[in-house]
Amino acid sequence: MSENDKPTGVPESTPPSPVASPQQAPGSTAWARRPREDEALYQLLLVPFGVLIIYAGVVLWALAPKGQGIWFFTCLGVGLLFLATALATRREGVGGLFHRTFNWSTAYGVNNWILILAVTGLVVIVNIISYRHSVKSDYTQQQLFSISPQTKSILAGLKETVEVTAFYPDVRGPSRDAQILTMYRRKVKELLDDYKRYSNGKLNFTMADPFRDPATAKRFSLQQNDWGAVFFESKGRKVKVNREKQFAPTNMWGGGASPFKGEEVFTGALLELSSGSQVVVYFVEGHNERQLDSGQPSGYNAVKALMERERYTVKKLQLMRDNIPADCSVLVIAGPTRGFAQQEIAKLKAYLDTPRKGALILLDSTPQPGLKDLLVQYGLEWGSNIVLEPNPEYAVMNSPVIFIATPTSHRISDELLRGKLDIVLSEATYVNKLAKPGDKFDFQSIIDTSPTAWAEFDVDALSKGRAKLDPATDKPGPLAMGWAVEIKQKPDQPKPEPDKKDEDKKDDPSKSRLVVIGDSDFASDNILMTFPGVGNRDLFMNSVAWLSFNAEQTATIRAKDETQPAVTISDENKARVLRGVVIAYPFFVLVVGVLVWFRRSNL
Amino acid sequence: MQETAVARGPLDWILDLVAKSFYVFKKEMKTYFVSPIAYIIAFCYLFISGYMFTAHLMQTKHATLAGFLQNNGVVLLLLVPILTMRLLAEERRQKTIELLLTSPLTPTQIVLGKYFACLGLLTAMMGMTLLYPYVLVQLGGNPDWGPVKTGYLGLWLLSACFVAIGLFTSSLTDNQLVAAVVSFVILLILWIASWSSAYLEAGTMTTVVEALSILMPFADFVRGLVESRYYIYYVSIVVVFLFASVRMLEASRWR
Repeated sequence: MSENDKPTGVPESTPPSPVASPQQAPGSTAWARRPREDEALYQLLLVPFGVLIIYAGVVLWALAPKGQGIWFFTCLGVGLLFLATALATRREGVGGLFHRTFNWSTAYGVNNWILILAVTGLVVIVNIISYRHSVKSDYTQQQLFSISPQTKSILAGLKETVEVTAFYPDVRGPSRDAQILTMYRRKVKELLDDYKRYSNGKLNFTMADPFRDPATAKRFSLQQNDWGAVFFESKGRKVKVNREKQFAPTNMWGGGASPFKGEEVFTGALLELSSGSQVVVYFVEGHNERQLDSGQPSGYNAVKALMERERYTVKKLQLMRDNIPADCSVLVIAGPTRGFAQQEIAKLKAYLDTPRKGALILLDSTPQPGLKDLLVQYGLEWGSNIVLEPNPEYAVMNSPVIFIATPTSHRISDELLRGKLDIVLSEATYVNKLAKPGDKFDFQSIIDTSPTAWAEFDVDALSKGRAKLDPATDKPGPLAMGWAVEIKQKPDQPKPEPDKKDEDKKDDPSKSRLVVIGDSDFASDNILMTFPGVGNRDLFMNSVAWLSFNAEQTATIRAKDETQPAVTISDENKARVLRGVVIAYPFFVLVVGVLVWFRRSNL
Repeated sequence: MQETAVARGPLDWILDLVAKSFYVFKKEMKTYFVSPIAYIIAFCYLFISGYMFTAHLMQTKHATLAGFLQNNGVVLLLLVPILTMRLLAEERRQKTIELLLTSPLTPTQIVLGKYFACLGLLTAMMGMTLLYPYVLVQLGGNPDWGPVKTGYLGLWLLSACFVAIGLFTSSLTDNQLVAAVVSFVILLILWIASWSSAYLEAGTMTTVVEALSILMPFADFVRGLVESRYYIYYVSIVVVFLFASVRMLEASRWR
């Protein structure tokens, strides 16, 4: 060994001098001496344990079912770590093993790399464990990546095991179609992962590739173009959710983000499995109400689609001709512009006096005979008025008749309140609560206007553009624009047996329910499309859910709106941003640098 | 040689580590800020970042920093190797590494001091981009602040990893260019690791490749979705490469 090979100037880690001692045999060095007893103990424990752990890993790998390779890798990592530690912690380092073959530099290099590999191995093991036990946190305002509390509650309450089979092909490749498919598959899997996590072991799922697993596809009678279907099975019952219901079909291949509605439809499927029956909602016809299938912007096509997606059965009802069917859970009267006959009112009254029935009545500014009288019997006064909002902060599109109302605390509107979702009303009317409505009614406001709004009762003045708040005739704000009314049942009427679900949610089954909102425009296609970010559809759907006495659906689950908040930039501001952010700001930093450099160079 | 070392507790060891690392940190920061280096790099960074932010804002008219933050990751991918290439390679080239190693400083203290100085410079540069959310608010935008905060956190963690990798490559050689190129290649491989998963069959290999990607966690940070494993992954990269840097510097003593 040459003198140059000796390490210099490093007292702590310098190995003992490789100069042979007089007692040692010729040719031997200090490295060749016997290790100290504590070092021997190290090797005695670490080496056999390392080997044993690696062996255990191999055995586990051989015995464990497919997909349990994690234990092999964990054991391999720990075993190698033990061996590496045994070598690296030798007083002489690993260099002691190699110094006869290599020079000192190489021997130390080997020692170094073994240490680095040992630390890397340890870090890999920590990462594998963290990968398998990772906790997700969602920091978005709308909780875009989290399932709703309603779904969690439904999953936690599952009594029977639910098996879910999702038929998504696992396609790989650079094509756009493959990438979209991969993204859809990932979204569905992530959602089902969350469902499984919150189900207390009651829900299991399988991601099946319909093209590579034809046997499973055949068991579900899957058609060739049926990929993306998700089946929920429990106790022999099966509910199918097509891919069109999970993703907006119009955006499927057309570019842009397709809103993922998985939670809406999957939870709906779970509800259908557990309840066994769907809630039936009837829309009253015959008084020029809003149409469900008209295709007109003033219609309720979007609302109908939403309801069907949430597994309501939507039907129409000619009140003059037909009786209200017994399976009707919710009756909707949406913006009638003609009067109601006496026999229709009698049917409505009988319906509303039946326990566990609900009616949603959406009104416009012109009171209709019959219905107006009926409302008086339920403590509400529908007068001829229109609500005006002069405050530009609440008025929409500079129009005093289109304005923002805010939700108040009620089971219908709590979720809106939490999500800070406003309601846009258009040409709305104020429905007054009578001073003495009677003991059997329990009123609660669900949306209010701002204090600056008022109900203008002089409709002629309004049409002539002379409307102003007259405290004598008009009603100043804040105005309750929606009422949720619970109607106590008469004592002589038989009370139905409450089911367990209602007891759990503390719904009183002896009551019927009525929701009256002073606007029918708010749920029209026109408003829903013009103002997609507001809470109008939630208000409508939550009202229907509350009226249906379906406690689990009271706060319904919506597809998350992933639209980014918009910002309006004028041409002037564009130029200012460009000048300030791109030019002035970086150049300011540069000028400071130049000044520093000059100052330093002149010192 | 007689043993003169006084027995010290772990707290003393940590305090000593922090104090001595801080000397190196101060010296490095002084090098950055009394010379035009920091200002020129900050100028380039802010110019490119400002352009990206403005272009994205004008194009989308969205009150969000997602586009800016995503693109900023790429800017750091190019910028960090330039910043880190000199950290140890320059010391080797100028032979000042011997002075450093024979000083009372340990390799760990040297590495930590240099690492945090470089990361500090990047943090200051990133801090200067906080003007952009302010601009959004001034324009009447109401961004979702959750993803903005996690996006910045992700960007900082990403740069922490990049600096650790750059410092390691700088510890391997006395040639700054080689250090920069090797660093860039490692960063690029970690960046594009997730791309290959699109071509691989689903299975363990795909999972491993995706888990190695430094981009996927960052993309989730920008979206406002953070998993605990992301922190572990980023911290792991920092630990492994800083440890490797210390060992490489240690090796300089007996080379």
